[in-house]
Amino acid sequence: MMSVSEQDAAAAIKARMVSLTVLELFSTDLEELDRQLLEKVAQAPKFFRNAPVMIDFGQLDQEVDGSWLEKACELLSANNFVPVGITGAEESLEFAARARNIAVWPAAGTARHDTVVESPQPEIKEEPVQSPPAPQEAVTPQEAPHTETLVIRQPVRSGQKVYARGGDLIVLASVSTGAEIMADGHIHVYGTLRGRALAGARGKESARVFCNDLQADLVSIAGVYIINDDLPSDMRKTAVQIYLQEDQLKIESLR
Amino acid sequence: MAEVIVITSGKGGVGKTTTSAAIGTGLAMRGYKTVVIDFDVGLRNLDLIMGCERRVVYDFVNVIRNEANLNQSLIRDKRVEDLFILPASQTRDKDTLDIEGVERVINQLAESFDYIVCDSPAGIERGAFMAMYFADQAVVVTNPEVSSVRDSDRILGLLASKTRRAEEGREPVKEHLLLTRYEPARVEKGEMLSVDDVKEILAIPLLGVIPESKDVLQASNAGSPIILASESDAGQAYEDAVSRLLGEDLVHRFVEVEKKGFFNKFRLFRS
Ligand SMILES: Nc1ncnc2c1ncn2[C@@H]1O[C@H](COP(=O)(O)OP(=O)(O)OP(=O)(O)O)[C@@H](O)[C@H]1O
Ligand SMILES: [Mg+2]
Repeated sequence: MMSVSEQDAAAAIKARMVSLTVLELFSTDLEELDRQLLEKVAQAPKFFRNAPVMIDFGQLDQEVDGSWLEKACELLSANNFVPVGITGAEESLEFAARARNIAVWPAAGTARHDTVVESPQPEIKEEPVQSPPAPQEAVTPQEAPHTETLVIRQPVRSGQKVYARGGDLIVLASVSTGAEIMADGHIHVYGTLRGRALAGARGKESARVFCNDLQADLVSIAGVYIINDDLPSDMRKTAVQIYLQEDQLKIESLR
Repeated sequence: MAEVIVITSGKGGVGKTTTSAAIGTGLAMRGYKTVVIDFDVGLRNLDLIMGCERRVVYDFVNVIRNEANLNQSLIRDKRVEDLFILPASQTRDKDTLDIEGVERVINQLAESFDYIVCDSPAGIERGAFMAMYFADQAVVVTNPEVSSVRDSDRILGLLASKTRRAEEGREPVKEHLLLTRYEPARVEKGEMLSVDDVKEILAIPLLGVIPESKDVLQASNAGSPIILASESDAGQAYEDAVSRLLGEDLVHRFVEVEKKGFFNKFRLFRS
């Protein structure tokens, strides 16, 4: 499959998962923030040098304004961080962020804290649970029981997002490239998986991804991910399961 | 009860208006009272392709704003009985459409028509949303290339979630794939996606494959829907598509490269 228009393109726009440093704020005291940042940087100067930072206001119960954000960004820059975005902030602050040309992410809670998920068009399509019993073989008795299993019967199309919060996700159809499916537990795709699949979205490392035909843009388990380019060629277009073993993704044939 | 069919695609310039004119005309030729509505407010293309641009007095927006009634705005086709066009305005922008207004017009048309064909504008914004919202069926027009297929996939997602049928939890909009501007020779060379590639990705029933044809441009310049050119392969492919829309089961033509044999030194006409 090839497209003439793609060959001629001067650039390609792609969605990609990136790892960000998150600065969770608990206080608006800028002096204290400066002091603690210095301390942190002193511990691992190389690690933090020019690290992109997202400021998370989600835990903060005080309100701050645009000029506060301005100062906080200057302070971060002075400590060799690169402020790239904010999340969990009031709407007024979002304006200030846009004026400063930094990104605004939707509030956290959908992903692990060091993982930011981008979606071109956040369109959350959540269905009520239709078949509650969790798949038996996947659940070991020691594990806490899964609260919910989300079953999707139609194809998940480009631009759509499905998130099984707190449980497993079963998709009985295909997942298109440009679509994103997430679950806090396991993900099962009985059609072709062409989009992005993120299992263990809140860090559950025992989560797995099962699919009938692997052509995914990206597969992630508890934040460890693999992109399409890196999928082993003998596993492409076959039925596989993907799981984490010693912080490495393992792809195993189901045949 | 009228059946509302949206002709949509996401990507621009893939052949929606050509298809709206052809399918609308085809349905009317089979005796169904049909109206084709141009939702592409601001561009106004449908009346050109259907050869009635000189007869537009009032338009869709006038009706929505109660500045004119339906009978004043509907244009009766001169060639085909039972065929009407509700043209778009050239002078307004897309935001003049509102969902209540569209609903009122569609309900009123539904009282006397069998088919209401909605020619959607490109994109996935307001205009496209208005055109699809009341649909019972959707013809997703796709060209055999990656970006068009991607956009069609996107549109299928919206059809499944953003239409009235979806919102009311009724039976979903019936989806049809129409692959247009298909060139079997280029598919063989690997320059275009094949019918099977596209079918596999979009996973909806195939309504038809319309070959790339010079006759299409000629027909639209002449203001005569391509389906009326019964000797043209594109016209015949649209005929087949209309038959399938009405439930007939036909073999897909024009999907293979024509073999150069003795018989192909002649052209057979059907008139
Ligand atoms: N089968 C075909 N063979 C050759 N040319 C075609 C064919 N179908 C459409 N075209 C040409 O493609 C162009 C775009 O067609 P059309 O206006 O129907 O597309 P559209 O999807 O309505 O565009 P827009 O998104 O701008 O509304 C026109 O020049 C038309 O003549
Ligand atoms: Mg058009």
